[in-house]
Amino acid sequence: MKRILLIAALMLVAAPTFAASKVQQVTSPGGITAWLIEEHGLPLLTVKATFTDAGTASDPKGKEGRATMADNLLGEGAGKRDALAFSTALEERAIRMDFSADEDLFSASVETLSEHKQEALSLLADALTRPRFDTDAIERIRRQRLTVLKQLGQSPHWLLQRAWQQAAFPNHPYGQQAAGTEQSIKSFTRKDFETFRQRYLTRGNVLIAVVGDITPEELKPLLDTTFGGLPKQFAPEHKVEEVMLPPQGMTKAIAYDMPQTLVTFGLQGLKRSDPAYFDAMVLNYIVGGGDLNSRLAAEVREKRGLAYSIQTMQESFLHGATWAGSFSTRTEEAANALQAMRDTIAQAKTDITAAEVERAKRFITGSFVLSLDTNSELAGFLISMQLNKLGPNYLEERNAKVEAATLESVRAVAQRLLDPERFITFSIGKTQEAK
Amino acid sequence: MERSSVIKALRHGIAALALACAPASAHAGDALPVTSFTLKNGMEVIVVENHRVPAISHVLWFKIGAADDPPLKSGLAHYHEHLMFKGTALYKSGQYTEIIAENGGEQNAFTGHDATAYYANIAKDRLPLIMELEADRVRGLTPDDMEALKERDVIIEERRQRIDNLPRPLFLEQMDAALYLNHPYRIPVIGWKHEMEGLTKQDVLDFHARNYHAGNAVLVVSGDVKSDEVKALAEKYYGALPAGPTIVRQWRKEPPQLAPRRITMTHKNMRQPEWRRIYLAPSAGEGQKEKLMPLLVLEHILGGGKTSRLYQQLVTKQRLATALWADYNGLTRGPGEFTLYATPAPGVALSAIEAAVDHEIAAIIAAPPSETEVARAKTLLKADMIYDREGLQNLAYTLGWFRMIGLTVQDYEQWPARADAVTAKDVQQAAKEVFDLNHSVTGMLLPEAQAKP
Repeated sequence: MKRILLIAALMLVAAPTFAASKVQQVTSPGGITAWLIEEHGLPLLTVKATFTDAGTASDPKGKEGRATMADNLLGEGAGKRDALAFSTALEERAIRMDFSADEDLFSASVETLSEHKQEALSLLADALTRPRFDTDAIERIRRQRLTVLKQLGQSPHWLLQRAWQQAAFPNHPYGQQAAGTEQSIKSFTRKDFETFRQRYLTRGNVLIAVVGDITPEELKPLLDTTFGGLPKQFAPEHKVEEVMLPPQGMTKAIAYDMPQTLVTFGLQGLKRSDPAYFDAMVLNYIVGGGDLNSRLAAEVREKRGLAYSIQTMQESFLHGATWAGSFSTRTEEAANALQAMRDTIAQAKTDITAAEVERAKRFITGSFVLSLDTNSELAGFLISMQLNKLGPNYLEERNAKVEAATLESVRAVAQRLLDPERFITFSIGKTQEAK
Repeated sequence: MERSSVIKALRHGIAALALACAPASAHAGDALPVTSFTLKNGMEVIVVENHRVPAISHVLWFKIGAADDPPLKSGLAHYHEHLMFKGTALYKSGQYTEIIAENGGEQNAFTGHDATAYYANIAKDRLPLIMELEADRVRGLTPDDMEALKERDVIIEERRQRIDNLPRPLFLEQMDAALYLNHPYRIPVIGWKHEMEGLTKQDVLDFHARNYHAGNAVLVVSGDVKSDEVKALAEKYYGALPAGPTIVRQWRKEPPQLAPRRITMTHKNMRQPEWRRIYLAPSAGEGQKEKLMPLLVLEHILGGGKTSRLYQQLVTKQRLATALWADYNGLTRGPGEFTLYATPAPGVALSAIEAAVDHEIAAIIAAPPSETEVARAKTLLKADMIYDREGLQNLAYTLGWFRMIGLTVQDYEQWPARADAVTAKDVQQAAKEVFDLNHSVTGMLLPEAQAKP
């Protein structure tokens, strides 16, 4: 009895908040703005620059894989340094530099000991504004991309994901093969990457976040020297259109010889700007986002022992959104697991309870600080705050927005989103064709 | 590129979190914000203060792992870890998970060959709650029969998902079984399927009674908390647990290894061949901690990144490979491993890769590396230690892991000094000792159509 009381008492305590993290908007003499959180506890610094609408959806038709290959190439020689000299300059100071492209965003990030911040940012400036794209480097990265493509082609997860994306986003860049095709990878020339840099890595579409051991006064001139040389105008070759998933559901089985069947299922999701975004976040936690506590985990793993993991996720892109999930199960039970999944989701459309909403809110608010305990995680969050125009006080305001979800609002979003008729459900595993 | 780190991952472990890693003070000379003490029942406690966010990470480690699985019962330590979530006399199955989630916490557990750990990350004022729940399940488990059977299905499903579906994990199991002639590292943490199918609830309860005692546990609490608070709470919640019998871990040892081993595996779902070699290597757990740092420097010089010798020679200059790395893991209780890996460029035979790798190995055995190479590796190793001071978990995990393999907090504090002391000759000597083909397995994983390398 005593133990239960202890737990009940603890649950009433409010979720922890960010008292210390003050977001500052710092503008350089040259007019470049970064969002900064000072953190002087360790001699470390993270700088992150994200270019919007410069991700893999920017790849023109026939040039699939361009953004991905460009991200591989930016650290392969810049300014006066060839690839080896550039890597050596980073390693000698233990600077960590990374480039990445997702569907919408191209990001550069640098982590450094604060004693090397000048050199780190000077190298970043070189990579972003003066990449060399030397023939040797292009050919080496081309060979790498071709072998990576082969490795992807042997991965059932990738094959499934690709087929699902193509079905969910037909005739839209989100459905393209972001890793590139053998043909496109073989066709790229230096000019393709130079075009990408000049049109997409610009001041017109950059967001900058800085977290760590630096003051606003130190940062200001560095913003100009690092980002001042970027081209001014964002000049995309095509506009990425808004996209919805097809209204008709779809089911497809892909043949692949292995002991399990992997399943991906998904529906239209909500964009970050949707007023019901947090209601959908709560709903996702209840249905499949909440690890072992979700309804899907209870039905498929805990009650039936059919899967090791089953989870769902809402993914908001700049021009579309999905709510999708996945699991894997032994092939002979795949039909049963699929049925359990469909039934669970059909039921969640109408019978979410107040207790579930409360539990979801407690987790989502309480765990917020856990994902923001490093400079890089905070820098990533500052980028997302800028991208979604959430305002500099959002770190403190966010949990109140989650708390505002009610049983009615979550049930309303369940009605809106959870439509088993519209499921796009793809599986990969042994089918009749495979035998 | 792989980041170097002192702890790479739980050795072959089933880890929910990657163990990032590594020690040292942020500014040379600063003491680590670490205190440690031992409860009367023998339970060790390490506190890592980090006041960045108002949260804590509570990790309860046990010096017991898959290498302790009894004969014919591979996978038992991991199955036991799963049944730790299936109820006690006070909390029903799944309630542990529910309570922590309702309090805004994340939790999970992982099993390796050397150790098993249970963690919860949560708001700092919930520390008493976590201790209550953890101490409760150490006292005893009461899973019901059906729950235990369904969970056995779940771990077998986990094996299919992580291993049986995919050529590379299957290949790595074959490599380990060839590398170790006798040591339990030859058996996978998750277990062989035919033995997992025979595991019972009683096996788990016996395993628990034998091993889950305060005297076999190390608690690490990191985050926004003071050492004194943790001490008072640990005495309150864990102090009454029995010390338990002293556990003698008897692992089979490797006999002299007298012949190089080779594995060629083809798999119907492979498209891109790969080459790998694993050498047995010195480890901290086998009393060779002074050999770790020269080998970590060697790892960097040979295959630690784009400036490394193997990358420059095989990927950049000779265009034989498209990916290449070296990896040394000596933070194990049993033998360590030094691994070399390569993906061949289109059209290149694996035999050409192997010859080029062996050429570089011969070169570093023949002549010590340059001072520049050694200095760069040391800079990276010491910087990793500062980077890993960030976050609730990194330092806490490293220290917990150190205790599991017989190292101490002091060993960790001495890491930068050990790095500084490494000379080019030490690296050459380390290469001479570790690169003995008689202590290695070389493996090729190939598409079916390409049975010949």
